[in-house]
Amino acid sequence: MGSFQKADAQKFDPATVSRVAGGGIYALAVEKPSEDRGKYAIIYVGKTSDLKSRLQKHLNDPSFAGVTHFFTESIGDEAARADREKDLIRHFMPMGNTLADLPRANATEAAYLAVRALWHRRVLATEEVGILGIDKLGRVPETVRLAANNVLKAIAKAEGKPVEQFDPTTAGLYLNLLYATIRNISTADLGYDPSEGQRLLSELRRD
Amino acid sequence: MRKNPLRLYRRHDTEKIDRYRSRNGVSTLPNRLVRNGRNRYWDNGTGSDMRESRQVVQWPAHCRTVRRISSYTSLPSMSSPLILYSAQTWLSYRIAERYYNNEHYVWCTPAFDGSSPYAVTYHVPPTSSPYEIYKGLYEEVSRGDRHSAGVARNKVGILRGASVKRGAGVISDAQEKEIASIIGSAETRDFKPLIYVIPYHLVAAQVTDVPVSDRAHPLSAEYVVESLQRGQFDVIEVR
Repeated sequence: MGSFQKADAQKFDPATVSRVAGGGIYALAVEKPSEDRGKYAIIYVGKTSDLKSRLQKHLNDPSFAGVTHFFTESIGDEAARADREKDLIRHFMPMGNTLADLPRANATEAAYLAVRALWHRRVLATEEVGILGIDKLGRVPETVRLAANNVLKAIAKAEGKPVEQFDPTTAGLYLNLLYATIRNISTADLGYDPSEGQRLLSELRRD
Repeated sequence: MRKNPLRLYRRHDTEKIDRYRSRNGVSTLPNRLVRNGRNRYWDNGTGSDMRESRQVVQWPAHCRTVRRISSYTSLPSMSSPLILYSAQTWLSYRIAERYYNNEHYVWCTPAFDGSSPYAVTYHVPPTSSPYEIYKGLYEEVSRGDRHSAGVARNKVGILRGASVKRGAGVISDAQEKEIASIIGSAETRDFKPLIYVIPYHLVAAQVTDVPVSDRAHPLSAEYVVESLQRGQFDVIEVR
């Protein structure tokens, strides 16, 4: 139940997306670099009655710029789609779904905690920091701690090893994915204006 | 001879260490236990002459948790550091300057490079070391690395900072959106690293000792200054 029946990754580009038809579930993924090429990190799982239109929408959304591939399964029945989506989210625990369930401020805090754990991974083996430490952070709301832990657990599961054993490249990949995820959430919540961002940035550079 | 008040605990007995630190104003403790037969030594982590930096500890074999050491002459006992260092980025500096009334939120350490043989005996793991962070960012920015881990980390940190400031009423929703837009449009070069040099005496009242659970390492010396004013630090850019 935990993997895609048609496990063929498809390139996340306009030509490929235009060939998709019908309703079903989909996963957005990022192909891992270098020696892990051909393996994918699932960052979001969704369901829709119109795969082509939903994927095209994601394709045109700058906040999904980091996605390289997608997976689909055609499922006509809405209830079956919902069940299958739940199964896949439970299995992959994609960071996009985990964090998108929280209010933006909490999602940002959870991403920040996960980023800290990934950044300091070499000392995670100590008892008070990192993944275990997150459980002990009394000042952080429980939902945030849980989300941060789930993100880290999902990352460790996807890599098949504890976070503290990640090499810098792998940790860097997930740090970037966490940023992309939190940027997506901010974009959806706050609205994103690239031209305004450029203008403000130019001002900062000029001052 | 005065009885030594210092107790050492097992390395992961961090709550006790924290209590000891807060009671006695000790900023750091030795960080590594080295065995040599029945003798055990606390290595101060500086990499300097081990004969000087080790403290001999005779432990009865049956003792497990709390140990009393025989003398403490070479143990660090400075109550406050001279300087705090923090590695930041140009963009985080500019955003604090523009949106947060020139108040900067910084994590800092009392050693610029904890691995240097010239460092005072503060333990600073590489992931918290201003020198290592600066060096890593400098290399990634120089390469124009679009997938820089340091840049991604800084972006999340800036977004989180904006979220916290908005929650505290320092900035408005519209300003948080502006910051998110700036981060979304920023290029790698906007994250060139800067070093903040903070004289401790100027910020002593503002310094928060980072709780053990938030540190990169239970014994690492890390501090947070939440509202560092521009007049309280110098900025260095090494090219």
